[in-house]
Amino acid sequence: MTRKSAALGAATVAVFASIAATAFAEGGGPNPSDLPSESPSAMPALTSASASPTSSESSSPNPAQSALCALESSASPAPSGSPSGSASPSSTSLPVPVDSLSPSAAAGQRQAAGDSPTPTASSSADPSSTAVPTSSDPCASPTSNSGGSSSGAYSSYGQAAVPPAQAQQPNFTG
Amino acid sequence: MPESALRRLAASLATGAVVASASGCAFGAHDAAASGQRNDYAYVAEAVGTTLPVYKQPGGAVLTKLSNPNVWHDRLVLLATARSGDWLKVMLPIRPNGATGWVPASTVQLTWDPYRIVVDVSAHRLTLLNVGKPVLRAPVAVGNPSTPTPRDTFYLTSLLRPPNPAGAYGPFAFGLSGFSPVLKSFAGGPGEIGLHGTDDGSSIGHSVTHGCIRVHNNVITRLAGLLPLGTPVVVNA
Repeated sequence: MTRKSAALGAATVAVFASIAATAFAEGGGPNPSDLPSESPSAMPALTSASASPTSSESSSPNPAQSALCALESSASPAPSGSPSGSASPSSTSLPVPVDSLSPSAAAGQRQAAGDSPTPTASSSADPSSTAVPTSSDPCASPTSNSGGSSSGAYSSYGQAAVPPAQAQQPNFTG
Repeated sequence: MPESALRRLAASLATGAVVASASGCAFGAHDAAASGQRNDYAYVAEAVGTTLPVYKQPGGAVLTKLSNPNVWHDRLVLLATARSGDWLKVMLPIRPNGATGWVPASTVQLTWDPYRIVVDVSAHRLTLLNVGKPVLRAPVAVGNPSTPTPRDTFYLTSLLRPPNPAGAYGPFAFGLSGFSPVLKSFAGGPGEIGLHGTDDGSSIGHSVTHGCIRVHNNVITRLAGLLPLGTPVVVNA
């Protein structure tokens, strides 16, 4: 009886650990299928002419298109307006493969752009702003910029990149 | 013996529950995605070609054509809000505020953005969210009653570095997709709303601008190094 109990307890712990590991593996970014579906009143068939961009467009396959195609073939379509969308519990639904990304990529990108420290890291002594304590460190996000990796349907579907600032005089309303 | 076995089983179950719970807490932002709370991300559509035709509806008439890069020489980005097959519904950086259209997914590259700015006009407060969690709060100056800051959802369209970092716009200025409801032009521009620094720190916390959102220079410097174009800016009353 004791051995059975111990075995059962160990198995239970293993199940919980597995659940936790799965939750981690599935994290890593949103899925384009999270966008709410919207059905326009009249929706003609997509023609190649209307969808054709300018001649300067690259002839290589568009990663976003590939991602959407993969999502369209998903077995669990998103209900309209659903915030949870049709994200599949399988790892193939990840926008970016978790194991292909380095947490240092985003930090390196910001450093290359002449970034200042992130608010969570440095603004505690700043009287003009208040850092809010959080466990969500943007630098720790397991994602890369839109360059991405080349594996899977979401090969280049990554986190939006921080732009370089253009040296220009604004004429915003001020 | 049976009772002790039951106690051990209960202890094992409790241990397992703690493991799962602790893991969930430690994962932080990942939990939001894993638990279905995925609407905390924004979807940014970056134009691929030099001109982006925008349609009134999928396969319908052309609504407008947007240049890429934009007038500020930044890459053209749009905030995607919905999809229909191979089409994306996008918010447009044109008048009137809140204008939307549709683009074929093949004409853009879709990326995601965990950040969102919320501006509480009456409280003169900006909050930066990362995957729905506040990570920065800062006071702001907003439009005065005659040239108010429009209330709507916009997004960042450009990032400029003014020649004079000690000038009226401070060291950095973001352009927004929205426009002043009053000023049809301003300083030679179309009355575009901006989020920028200032040369008058005492104005922060007051309703004194022509519609722009001002923050202290150290705040705009941080935001400039952190936020992608396309980051939503929600301006509440």
